[in-house]
Order: sequence, then structure tokens, then C-alpha cells
Amino acid sequence: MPQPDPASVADERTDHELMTAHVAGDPDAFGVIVNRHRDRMWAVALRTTSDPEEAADGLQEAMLSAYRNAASFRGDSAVTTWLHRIVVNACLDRLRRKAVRPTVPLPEQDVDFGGKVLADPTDHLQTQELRIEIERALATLPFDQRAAVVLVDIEGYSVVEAAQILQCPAGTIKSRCARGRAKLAVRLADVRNPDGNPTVGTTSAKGGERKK
Amino acid sequence: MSDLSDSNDNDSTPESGVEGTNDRNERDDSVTKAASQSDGATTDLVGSIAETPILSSEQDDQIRSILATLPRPVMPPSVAASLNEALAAESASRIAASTAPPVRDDLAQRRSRSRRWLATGGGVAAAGALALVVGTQVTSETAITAGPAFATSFPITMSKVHYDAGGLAAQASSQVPRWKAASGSVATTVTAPPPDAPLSPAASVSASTMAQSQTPVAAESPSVTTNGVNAAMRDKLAGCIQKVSDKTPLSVDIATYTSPVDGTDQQVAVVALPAEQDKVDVYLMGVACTTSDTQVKAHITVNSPSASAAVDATPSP
Repeated sequence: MPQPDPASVADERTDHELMTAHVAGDPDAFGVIVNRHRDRMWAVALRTTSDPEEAADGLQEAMLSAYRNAASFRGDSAVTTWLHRIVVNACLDRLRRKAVRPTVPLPEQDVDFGGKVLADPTDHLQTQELRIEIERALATLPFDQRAAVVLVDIEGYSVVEAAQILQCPAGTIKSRCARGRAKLAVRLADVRNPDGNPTVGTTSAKGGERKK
Repeated sequence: MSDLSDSNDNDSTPESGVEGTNDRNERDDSVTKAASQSDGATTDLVGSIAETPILSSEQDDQIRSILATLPRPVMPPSVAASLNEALAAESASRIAASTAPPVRDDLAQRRSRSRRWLATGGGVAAAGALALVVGTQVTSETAITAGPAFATSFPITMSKVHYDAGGLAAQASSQVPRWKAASGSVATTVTAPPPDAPLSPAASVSASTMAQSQTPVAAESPSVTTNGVNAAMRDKLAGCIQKVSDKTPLSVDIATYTSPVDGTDQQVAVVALPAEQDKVDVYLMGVACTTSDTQVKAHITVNSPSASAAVDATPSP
């Protein structure tokens, strides 16, 4: 499992400082930023495209674009917010170009979703199955709703931050999240309640950990 | 692409329809509240509505808690390697561009290409006009590009001293001896401070960064990046400096500056220029400056530390 470059972790400069250093010609600064946040950006790219290959290509496009256009970053928002905006836009562009409807090629084994949050190893298979179903359900959402749900409910961004990333009003993010969750509820109803009870989530989620 | 956007959502852009969106959200909230009040009825409702059901707040929370349990995927090694390679290649091309032949040659090539293109499409008047405009812009840009001699005629340091608008005069004044010492030719009346000389309290700089700041960037090695300042950066700053003054700087120091407008810290080039009566003109320019936008954050004229601090202070955003 690749770990961020220790040098990136050890670098005590803030993201803003690194960005300005990059603009000033520091050849290593941007790499430090990428290594610092790459897993989070990968998560967003993967879940918004629902396709590992598209996510990898979109993320690479986004990072190169950010590298070249770093001078346009004015510091009005966090560097991560700016980067995530570029990532989401790159992923959306790729989906538009290829006119790909998210058809759930999601990761049975290809993508490592990690297992350390499992509370009880005996629940591994059941939990893994649930995760796959959630990812599949996510992939069926329209892009706008999926991106909002991924940023707010999964990655833990605030509504305001998500609004900055997706460049729309906070109210729109709330609306998209609500609609997205509602659709997820329907799609997950069978998984959560195989006996047919349509109530969503009758058992509490295990081992959850908000990521921010 | 209809399959990528929610056609039912009819979301507004930030520029328009904000009120409409809020109105819709209020409607959503009221519907949700009404649904949550009816409790058991909502359960049936969720199962029966096909597309966009209405969730009670409890169900909404449950979905959110389920989503929150998803672990963050780790970037696969192959993707990480590919990304690092792409960025390394981009960095290499950036460095190569900074050590490329003089702009004159590049201009000649561009003009040559432009002429060939014009010869090929000579019948297209609009294209010809476009090429003329581009050619004019390139010529104009080249005319104000700093020459190599000027770009290497002053020392550049990267002290990371932090300046702010309120204390700029005192901070800049305290740095004058160092700037003059760095210039090596102007400091005839000012003695460079000893290594352990105390700094002005206003100048928030650590001993380590001070030591680093006293090492000028190697001017004679354009391909070498020292303290994060490379030849391309030096040339760019030289062009910016020539836009604000025709004098050779005593010193240029890469530092940070707190904007009085929004309070954010910005990386700036502190340009110290000789002025009359042993004073020093100090410009704080954004490091992303260009010859068309010098990004002067502040301009101040200071005396030596022993004299009064500031004259003609003109902080700007």
C-alpha cells in the first residue's frame, strides 16, 4: 500500500506556502501538496466517476492542470478546496467527453477500500458486501447529486466547502444531498432489510468514523 | 449531457436563481418535516415512491451514518506512480523551459512559424490580422523582458521574513543594512550587521531563516535552483522590477506579507532599490508578477535604522 512520501509529511510548510513556493519556482513544492492530499483526492475522483480508470485519468489531468495554473490560485479558499474543484471538474469533463453513464464497474477487488474501520472481523464479508452495494448505489446517482453526497456525507466537507468546490450555492448542495440520500435509501432498502421492510437502516452503522 | 446532471434537480448557478434554490430548499424542508411527523406513514411512503422519495430526518441521518462508514480508498500504487511520473515530467519540462535559449531565438522561431502559416493561408485575411496582433504582442512583451545582464546584477535571497502593513516601515528599515551589505557596492556608509546582531522586534524572523537569507542565490548558474529561486524566477522578477524602476536593486528577498485587505499571507519579492540621500525604495511585489501586472503590494521609502523610519509610505492592497 503506497504511503505518502515521508518528505511530504515532514515538510512543515502550509499548503498556501507550498503553493506560492511552487509559483516562485520551487520544483518540489507541488509534489508535496499532492502527496499530502492524494488519497482524499483519489477518493473523490473514484467515487464521482465510479470507475477507477476514469478516476486515475481524471485525477492526473486535474493535477497537471493545477500544476500549470497554480498562479491563478488567489488564496481565497483552501488549497484543498481549489484542488478538489479541479478534480471534480476534470472528472465531470471526462464523463461528458466519453458520454459514459455510470454503469457500476466498481471495485470488487480491484480497488483497495481499506479494512481498518471494521469493528468486528467476523462481519467482514457482510460489511464488504454492504460497501459494494453502497458504492453501486452511489454510482447510479446523477453526477451532481453524487458529487455532493461524496463530498459532504462521505468525505466530511461542510456544505459551504462543498459549495465552493462544486461552485454552486450552499442551498443547492443541501438539496442535492437530500435528493441523493433519498434515492440511496430506496436502492439500499433491500440490502439493509432483506425481509422486505422498506425502512432504511434499521441497524446502526458500525465502526463509522467521520473523516473530517 | 442529460445523464450526467439531474434534470429534475434544476439547480441554480451561483450567479442566478439563488432565491429560487432557497425557496425550493424550504419546500424540501417543510415536506421532510411533515413526513417525519407522520412517522409510520413515512415508512410506507419510502417504499412506494420510485424516484425521489421523501425521507424523515431519522432516515436521513441513517443514510448519512451509513455513508460515513465507508472507508477512504487508498490510491493504488500504479496510479500513484503514474501521477508522480506525470508531475516529474511536467517539472522537468518547466526547468527545461527556464534554461531554454534566449527569448530572441524563440521569438524568431515564432515569427518564422507565423510567416510560414501566413504563406500557407495567405488568402485568409482574418487569419493574417490575427497573426499580426500576436506578433505585435510578442514583440511588445520581448521589449520589456529583462536582459540577462540585468537579471544577474542583483542578489536574490529567500529569507521568508514576514512583513505586515502595520509594521512595514520598521521591518524594512531594520533590513536596510543587510540589503546594502548584500549589494556589495552601495553600502559605503552602512556597516553590515554582525551575524549575531539583534533584529528589530518587528521583524519576525528566526535565526535559521536569517542564516539562510544571507546566502544569495547563485546568479551564475541559471539552471540551478537555490532556495526555491531558479533562473526563470530571476528573469521574471527582473522584468517586473524594470517596470517600476530603472535602477539596479540592492537586493531582492523572497518573503511573506500579510495583506491588509483580506488578512491572507502572500509570498512577495521585497525589492530594495537605492534612493536619494542614502534612503532605500522598497517595493513588495507578488511573486507571480508579470511585466503587465507587477502586483505591487506596497511601496515605502526608508532610511537607515539609525534615522527616522519611514518616508512616503504607500501601502497598497
